Amino acid sequence: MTLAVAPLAAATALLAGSAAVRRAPDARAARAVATGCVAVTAAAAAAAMVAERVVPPNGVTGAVLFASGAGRWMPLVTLLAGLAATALAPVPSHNRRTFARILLILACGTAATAVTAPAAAVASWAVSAFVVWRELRDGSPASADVLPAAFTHTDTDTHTGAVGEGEGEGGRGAGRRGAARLFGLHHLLGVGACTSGLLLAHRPGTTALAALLVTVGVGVRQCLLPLHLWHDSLARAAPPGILVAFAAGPAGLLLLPEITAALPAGGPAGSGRSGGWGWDWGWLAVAAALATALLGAGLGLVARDIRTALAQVSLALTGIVTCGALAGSGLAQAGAVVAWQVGAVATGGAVMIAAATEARRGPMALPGQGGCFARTPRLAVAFLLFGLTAVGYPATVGFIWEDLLLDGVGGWFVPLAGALVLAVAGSGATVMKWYFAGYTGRRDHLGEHDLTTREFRAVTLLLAVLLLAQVHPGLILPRY
Amino acid sequence: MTGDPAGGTSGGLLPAALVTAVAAPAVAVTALAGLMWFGRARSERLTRAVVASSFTVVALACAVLAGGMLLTGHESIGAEAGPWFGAGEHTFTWQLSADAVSVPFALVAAVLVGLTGAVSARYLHREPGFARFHLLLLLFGGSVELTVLAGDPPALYFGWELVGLTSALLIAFFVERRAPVRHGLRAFLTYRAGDAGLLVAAIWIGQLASSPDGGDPAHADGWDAILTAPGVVAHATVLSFLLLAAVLAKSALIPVGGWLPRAMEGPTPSSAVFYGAVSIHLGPYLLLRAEPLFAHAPAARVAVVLVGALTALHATVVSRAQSDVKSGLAYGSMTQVGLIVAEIGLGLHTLALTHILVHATLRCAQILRSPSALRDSQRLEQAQSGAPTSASQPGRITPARWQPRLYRYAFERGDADVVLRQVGGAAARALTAIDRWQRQAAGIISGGNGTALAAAHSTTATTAAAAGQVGAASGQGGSAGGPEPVHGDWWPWATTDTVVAPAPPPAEQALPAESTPPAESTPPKASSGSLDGGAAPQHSAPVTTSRPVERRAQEGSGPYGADSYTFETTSEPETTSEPSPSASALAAHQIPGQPGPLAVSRPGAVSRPGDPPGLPETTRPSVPPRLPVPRPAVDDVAVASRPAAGPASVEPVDADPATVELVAVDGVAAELVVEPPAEDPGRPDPAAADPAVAESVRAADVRPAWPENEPPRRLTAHRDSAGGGTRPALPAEDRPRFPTDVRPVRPRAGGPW
Repeated sequence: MTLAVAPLAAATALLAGSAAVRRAPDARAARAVATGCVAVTAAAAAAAMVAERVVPPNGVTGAVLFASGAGRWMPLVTLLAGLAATALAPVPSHNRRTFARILLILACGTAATAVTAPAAAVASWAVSAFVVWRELRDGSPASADVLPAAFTHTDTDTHTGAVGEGEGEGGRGAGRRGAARLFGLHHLLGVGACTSGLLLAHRPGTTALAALLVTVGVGVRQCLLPLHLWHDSLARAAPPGILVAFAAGPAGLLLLPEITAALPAGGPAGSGRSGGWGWDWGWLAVAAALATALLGAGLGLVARDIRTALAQVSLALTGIVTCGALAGSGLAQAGAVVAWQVGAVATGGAVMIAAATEARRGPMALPGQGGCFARTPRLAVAFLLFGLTAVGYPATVGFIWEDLLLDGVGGWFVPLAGALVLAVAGSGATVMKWYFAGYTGRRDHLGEHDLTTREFRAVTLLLAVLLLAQVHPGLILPRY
Repeated sequence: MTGDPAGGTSGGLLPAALVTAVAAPAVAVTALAGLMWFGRARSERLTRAVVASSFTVVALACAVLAGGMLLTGHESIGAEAGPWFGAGEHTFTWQLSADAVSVPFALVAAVLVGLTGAVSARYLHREPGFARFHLLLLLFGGSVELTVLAGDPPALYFGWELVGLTSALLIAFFVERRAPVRHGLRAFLTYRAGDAGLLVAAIWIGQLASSPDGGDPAHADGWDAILTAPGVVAHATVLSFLLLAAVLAKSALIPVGGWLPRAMEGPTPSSAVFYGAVSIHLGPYLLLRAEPLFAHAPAARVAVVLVGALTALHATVVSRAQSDVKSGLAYGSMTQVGLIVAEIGLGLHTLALTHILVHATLRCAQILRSPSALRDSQRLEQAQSGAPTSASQPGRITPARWQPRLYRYAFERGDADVVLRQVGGAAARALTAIDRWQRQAAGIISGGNGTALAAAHSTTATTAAAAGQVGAASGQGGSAGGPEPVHGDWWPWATTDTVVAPAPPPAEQALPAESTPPAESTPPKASSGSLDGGAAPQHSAPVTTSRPVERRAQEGSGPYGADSYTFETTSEPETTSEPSPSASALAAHQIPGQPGPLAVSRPGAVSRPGDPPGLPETTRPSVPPRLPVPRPAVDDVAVASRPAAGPASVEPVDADPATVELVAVDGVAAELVVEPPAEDPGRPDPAAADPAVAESVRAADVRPAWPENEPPRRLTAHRDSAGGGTRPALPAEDRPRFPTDVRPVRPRAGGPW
């Protein structure tokens, strides 16, 4: 077992930041502390990565600076998504406790790569899921106090109608409890199944059962059909910052190889379509991932509010990443890793931009609405760029994962690549539709302002990272 | 960067020119976008200089390429840059290729985009979004050069996608209006559907060409080597049809060409360069480029010929019924592109390339000229005392008994949009049903009543906007009992089933308390809401009985064939509970599939572009209509701004005599300024003062008569408006959401955005 020092140090810093956030006098101060903590930690992680490249560390037994391979960039990716989750978080829907929990979840995410063992990923997933569950149970009193019912994430309105019903505080409480119950049941099942499967994997005679349990567990984390029902309700019930921080955790991606490792046929990765998969769990998992991708792309097109739409885009991307990771192609697996890296930051940015917009002018839902582009041009452009990057549009770093993943999957099984192309196309159409529906089409406005200085700096940094990464994308590509 | 050995002695210069033709716009886009993001691109001169210098460089590079190839006699020049990225044995390298097909197209495209940039610098002077337009134009130009000069399918796909993005964003350039935005979205969705075929084809071709039995590896020997690899040829038919799908979307061929006339909502320069000159010809260019593939797919070639011929025929017929110049030119472009596609399918490649270049140049100039040409045409008609222009030759030679059917076909645009709308609506309903089942399952798992929860969400989501508008937190009404609304008119193929019809709020909730100030304190903006058909008319014509909202969406009947006009009758006075005899008679003659006789309550009224046909089919004119003479939309502002005349008249209480700014949704009239008459119409409002008078007005169902002794107010169309296309009512979602705090944004100098 090798210990990665930098992820541990980053997690420790975030835990300290979480404690500091709890002592902040109000939500705005908590946001400032959280943003500063995440920014400093991200800068330190980036500096450590540069230092590791410039001065390769001496071979200390059992300890490295960063995990090797795909795990190398994961802490920084989690921190960048966390920067979006904190710097762009609107105060009305995020109180001190929420910011502290965001840092806790980010700490879990960065620590997931500290140890090169699946147990670390499972532990990271379990703790972060517990924090999210607590947030859903507790709700956000600040949001209920500050905003009218239609604006809060804890209401039975456009955002949270799936699992909440009723009027007044009682209805809101029921909605929160419903979302928490749905989330808790799924993740309790997922963590339990995954842990059991990993424990059984090395026992003789239980290979099939272990593979089934691991597949179910990872399927919950990766929102694979039909274990995805918690995702939509979480997107509409949880504060956006919590959602982004939880999605930025790499536990699901780290656990995906465990499916192939637990398969009776010895694992599909690298074996090719004719190399031992057969019609067994592997194909079933790929089919579930493909169905998830197509479902997310389709439902995103008919979503009636922007949170649901972005949740469906995220669902589609999760299915695409899972397809790539499970495909028997190293190229597709490299593409899947890049897709997760890009998607975590870009989708997080889009979600937080949408949250910031909603905090300014109310829920973004169809029909009607629209926005005054001339009033909030940078918000609109940032949403478009984040969204297009997430779905792999050309001239963004997302194109790199699109090329790698689709080419890799195409080399493995062309019809699967064709289906993934449809999912990518649908997700892109969803992003474009919500750019138009949310930020254009009106001349009147509420007097809402464009990006604040803090938001502008964070968005500029994230966009610069995403756009400049394509100058030399070889840096972020994992070796396989 | 490496040059192709085929370049011979010019191997250094020509590959460099090839790379420069693609890289120069990219550099300019990066610079201009950075300046815009940081708010430093406020100078039109700077923007103009960036665009002009960029396309000058591109045009010179293309000219050098053309001249070099002519002088050296090389058939093709290749260049590659990279590798950009890679994993394992897979690398992405920028492959560029110049040959007899790509260089003429690239040169003409660079010149036309550059000239259009020069024209737009004046056309959009001081227009908000000046820099945004030119940034998108730069991106478009660079994308076209990349698409045309690409040496392999991935690079072509890269540029192809960016062309689609810039096209959609420029169609929606006037972002404050709903119609252009919706049409941009429709174009993007159509592109996206077609591009999926291109992407699958590119992936598959790459796999087949680089497979061990596929011959030479891809990314090495150019298009011919890639497309004639044995593995590719073996699947030529399927690959050809995938490419044909991309061509259908990009070049607006049937059956998906309905977005093209709608795309004319963008600024005229972008319409010229996209849909007259360059973008629309990328489909035929792809067919020319993929000619080695189509040569092995006879079925695909037959399909190409059929699609081209049918498109040309369809567009020719439909163009005869267009009543505005840009729609006519759009269908003219479609006709020519159809012919070009048919020529390519027949193997007439040289003719097709010549046709592309000539048509691109001519049509670009024609569309750029169209605003002034329309004006000249109107002056000519006025000089002829309104005499109609003579019927065209096809109209004279067409048998009389075919003319009504052809006219109806042309008027309905072949019902292609209806089919697409039905397909899109069915898909949307299916997806919504899946969503509902998921929510039911989630509700059951979370311990609630799943059915009720799903139903609650389906209504709360759709009524949230309406509830927000009226200031009520709880949505009511909605879709219970009817087809579940999906997402309003943001679905480009919205139908009456999918358009949400929010329930009319109770009378006391029609406007929030803070939005119904006393009449004397109502700002002028609020009076403009009278066009909305919902809010402001309360000031001038109090409603005593309200009918359920009746909304109808009519596609394809606007000046650009683009608008879903919504007729709301909520605020219309209830005159009688029985249908009028004329309405009954017309209902008996109603054409199946046509909207009902909604707009026939005014005998003798001139039909408007958005009105449903009020006469049976047999009585409708069978000759192509004349170009519309700009006329003020008096009816639209009648309630709001007409002066009173007699006791039965209604005068607005709060109409500002100086300026009433109207928000139009039809994509034509951005705003109308009502100039005050010579006399101050400051007389009291009998309708507002006396409810009995207002009741008599409603009972008589008369609109206020125009006073005989007063000159009509002059309506001035702004912002290149045709001036004749305002609508009877605005959709509910276009009502000002914030009646007490409406602050129009009209930056004087534009700014970077």
